[in-house]
Amino acid sequence: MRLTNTPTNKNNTFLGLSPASTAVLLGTIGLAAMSLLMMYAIDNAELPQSIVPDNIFRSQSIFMLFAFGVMLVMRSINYQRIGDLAYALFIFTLVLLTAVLVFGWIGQRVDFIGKIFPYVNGSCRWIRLPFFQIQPSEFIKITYILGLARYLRYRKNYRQFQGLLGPFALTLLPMILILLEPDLGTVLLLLPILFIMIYAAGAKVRHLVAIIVLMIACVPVFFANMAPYQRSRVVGVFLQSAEVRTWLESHPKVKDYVYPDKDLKQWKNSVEGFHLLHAKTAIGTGGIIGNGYGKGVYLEGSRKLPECHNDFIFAIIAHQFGFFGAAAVILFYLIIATGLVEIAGKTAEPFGRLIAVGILAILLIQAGVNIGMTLGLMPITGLTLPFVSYGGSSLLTFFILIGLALAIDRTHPLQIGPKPFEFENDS
Amino acid sequence: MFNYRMKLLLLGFVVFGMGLVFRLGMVQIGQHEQYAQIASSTPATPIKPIPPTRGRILARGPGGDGTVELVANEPCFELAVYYPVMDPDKWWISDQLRTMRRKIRKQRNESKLKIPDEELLPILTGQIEQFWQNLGILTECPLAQLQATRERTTQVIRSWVENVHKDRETIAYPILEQRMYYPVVSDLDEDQAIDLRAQLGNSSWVIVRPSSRRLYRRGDTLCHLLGRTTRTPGSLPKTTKIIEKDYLPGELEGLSGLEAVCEEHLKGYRGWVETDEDPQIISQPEDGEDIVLTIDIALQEYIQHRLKKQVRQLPYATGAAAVVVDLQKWELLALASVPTFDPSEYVKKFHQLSNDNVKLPLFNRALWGRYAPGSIVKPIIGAWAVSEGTVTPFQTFYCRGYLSENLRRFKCWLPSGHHDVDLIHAIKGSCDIYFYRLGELLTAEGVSEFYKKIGFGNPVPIGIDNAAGRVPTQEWFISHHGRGMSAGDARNLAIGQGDLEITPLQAAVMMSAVATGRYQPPRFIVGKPLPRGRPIGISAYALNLVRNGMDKTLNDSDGTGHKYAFAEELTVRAAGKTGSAQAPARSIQWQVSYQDPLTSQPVTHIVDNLTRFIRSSPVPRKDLNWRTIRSIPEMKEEDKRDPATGRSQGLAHAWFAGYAPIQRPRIAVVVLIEYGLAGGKAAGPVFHDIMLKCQDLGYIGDRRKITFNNWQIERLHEIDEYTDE
Repeated sequence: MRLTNTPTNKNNTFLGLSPASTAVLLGTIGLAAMSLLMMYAIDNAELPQSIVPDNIFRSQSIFMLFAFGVMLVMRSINYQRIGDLAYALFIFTLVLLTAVLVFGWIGQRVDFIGKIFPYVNGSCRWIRLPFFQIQPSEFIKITYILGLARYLRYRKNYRQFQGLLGPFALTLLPMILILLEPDLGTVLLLLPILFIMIYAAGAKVRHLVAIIVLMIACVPVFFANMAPYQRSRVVGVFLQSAEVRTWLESHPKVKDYVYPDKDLKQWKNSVEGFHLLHAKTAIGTGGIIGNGYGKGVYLEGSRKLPECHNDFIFAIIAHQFGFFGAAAVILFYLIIATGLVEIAGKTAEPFGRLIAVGILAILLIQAGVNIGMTLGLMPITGLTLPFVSYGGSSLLTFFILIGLALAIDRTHPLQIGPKPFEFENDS
Repeated sequence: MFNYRMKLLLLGFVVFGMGLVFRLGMVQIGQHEQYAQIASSTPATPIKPIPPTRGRILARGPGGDGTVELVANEPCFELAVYYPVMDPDKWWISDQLRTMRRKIRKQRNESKLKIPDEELLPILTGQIEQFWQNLGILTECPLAQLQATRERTTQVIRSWVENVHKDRETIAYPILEQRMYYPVVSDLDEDQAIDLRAQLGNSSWVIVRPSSRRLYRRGDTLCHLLGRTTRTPGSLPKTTKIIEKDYLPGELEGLSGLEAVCEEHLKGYRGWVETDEDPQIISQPEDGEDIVLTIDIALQEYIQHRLKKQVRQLPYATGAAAVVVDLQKWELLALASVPTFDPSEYVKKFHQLSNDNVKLPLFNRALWGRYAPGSIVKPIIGAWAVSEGTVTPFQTFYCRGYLSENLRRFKCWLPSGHHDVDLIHAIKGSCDIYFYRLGELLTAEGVSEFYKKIGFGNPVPIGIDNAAGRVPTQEWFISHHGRGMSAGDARNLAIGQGDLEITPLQAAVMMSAVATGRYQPPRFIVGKPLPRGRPIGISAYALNLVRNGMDKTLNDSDGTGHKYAFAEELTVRAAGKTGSAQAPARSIQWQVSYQDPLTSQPVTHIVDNLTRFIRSSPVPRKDLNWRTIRSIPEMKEEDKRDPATGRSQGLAHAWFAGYAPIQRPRIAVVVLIEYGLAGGKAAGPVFHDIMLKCQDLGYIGDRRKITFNNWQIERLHEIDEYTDE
């Protein structure tokens, strides 16, 4: 039996929630509301089907309700029980990932398996079941955080360099599996999460520095092994500047390596170039106060922004609501971040607070990468904007994570003795 | 420490968030004007290609001055159809249906009216089919032809789409090539284009746009070599490279001849332009490069005209060819083959031209015609024998008109015989007996190996395809005659008969070798590197001997070439050699019989084209029996005996090969008249006239008469004579 304490001062709570939970929930609901507003506007804009599918407002509402329900259920669960299952869940998602790969490969040859494990747009990442389909690489985000938090509970696992090999093994396995799918965005997400979590757990600074140096050393190898389209996406960030393009044109050898098989003159019409240019144009035309809800050339006029309901939804928000609206979205994420930091700080139990840190990391990094990509600061990776982008899997994942955070806030294990896990003299 | 690190982390995220907000401000506030401008000017529709101008094919002016256009471009129009109308994709259909729905709602004034896609889709499909029907009626083009173009284009573009999406993550929108216009009817004249534009009105499904086609400026000059362009069906993707280097459906592509050989130079690269109201050029097209041939236009046109005249005058001649090589720059100055055709009417008259198997006007005799060389190989064989030490220059053989009492069938062309002849006189009198003896000494294998060494039996590597000809070898003899080569074959090979076959171009290369001592294929495009040559390995002494013999052939009053080819007006001394190569008549009609495999009844056909018949025949080649029932030329009874000398004569190709001047050779000339009978009589006068023309053009001697300016004036005077066919 576990000893848990209950929230003590109910006077400061809002609907039985602590201030930290309130902040997290408020931010989440704010973003979800923004999402529904956008879906409604895009639905009404009658954009061609090549840009968005039909009836996204209805589907997103249903997803949202379902995910919200799941979040409430998660909140009521004792997260430490999940902790006992952490490794099992992690291994289960790894099995799912492997299954997607193996059956996806078979499915390209055998028809009926191909219906369950479809090969869509050059990658197999879906399992298609009756009524719904799931994407294991989304759920690995949850189980990865759980597994890592579970592992980093013990001091020896993060204070010694040998101990740090464990987390890397834990990261490398899903990374390789997802890389084979391929889903570059998720792969690149795992490393920063790992880093932030071991940093928060208390790893030595010199170990962290050594890891960073190693990671930077791996970048050229990684870049060399990327598919041409992935490479051109990474390089695309720099190609936005006309000076870089002219420089590359006068250096054909460099150009052939970093941007193979394509014409720089055609950059604006390449997939990356088109996306980046139009995303920035949509944001730039928003100005300070925006074009107004449901208005603007990208919704009413002839301009088109592909994936504007999904990866590039931030651009459409900025297009309609301007600088203030877009900054508000960033503010919402920071509010959630503050809440999560508060939750982590309040929890002395290492598993719980590491989960909170993991959630904080994944949420903010994914949001940051997505917004950065829309603003032309980062490569196009296909990472969604949490809580806002269209799509069931993404919504469900993040609502489950928020549910977990709320559950941690709700259940503090009974603390015997002052701060038993702190080592102030460490550095 | 945990809380400290958490605070740092939060601080990090806040700073990162501030950074994003700062960037947001930069884009939204700082660059607002700039992006607002982009949004109002960037195209909603994508870019479209600007076709490059195809390079011209030029020849050199008279005497090598300036250039003259052979093939240029002329503007025309084409009717192009929007690709989705050919192959509707889901995005286009959905957009079309949406537009239709809006229109219907407006008509009925009910803004919330629901019309399912299933109702509208058949209307759209019907509209598309109706559109193609109408197009067929408007352009007076058979519907089947339009549909064929449509299918071809669809096939090509679909393979592009597949290729583009092969390694992409999302297929969220159509590729550029699915939103372009592709021509279905090309080569429209301006009148037709204006009519069509008026009738088509303002449809966005089809446009009439300017395009260009090939224009042949100089009629049939060099017609065999120029080749033909075609509207390509588009090329299938070879790599993931975007189409820059490949063909879009309906673009001009070189199909044959020079157009195909120089395709990389002529083609150019397309540019791109935006398609909105204020179109900005994204990249300029790079026009194709012009190709300048080393051909001298005045000489080429003169030779073609002269050969035509000669063929008309001779009773049995069916065609002719001539090659002139510049021996100092190693360039082809003329490469003529008659009969000719007009390349601008090639497509229109294709059937008539390709079925004319009497004249074979499409056949490039200079490059592809394979003829026994006859006596023109005698000088080089003689030189080789002397160089190898097989005979001494002064060794004589006795010619009594035939080889020996036992071998009466090996006759000399002169029944009375040349009596004692050494090498020089054997060449001068073209004595067959002398060379029969040489052949015996050299052996058949030795002779055939030597022929290989001077380039016979292999195409001449001048950069454009030509025939290999045939040098019989021991293996070839065994597989074709069922026996090895004998002394008789050696004798025949040594006088250029037997199974030896060469092209006029190879003959010219051989004559250059006699004149200079080098085997050197000439170039025929200005600026191209010279093909690799080599010395032929014959001593200069031996070559000088035979050059002396060729000099006497032409300039001594009893030389075989003197009567018809000696030119008094020539200021330099020329050398030459006649050749009359016995040849069988060419079959043009066969009777083919075989047993029908189904009914086992004997079947008999009269066939005009045997190769085509064998290819499509129902039974294998070995079960077919055929015999010639008609061949050309048919010799008249009175011509079987030479009226002047009373000697019997058969069908023969007439050759005349030579070079000038003897000191420091400048040009080599080879003339061939198909079935011209006697070499000196049929080909000699043409050789004579070519030499004089070369002198007028300044290639030999110092009395140049024709310059660029007076050539054009002269041509105006001659124009009646040139077009008299």
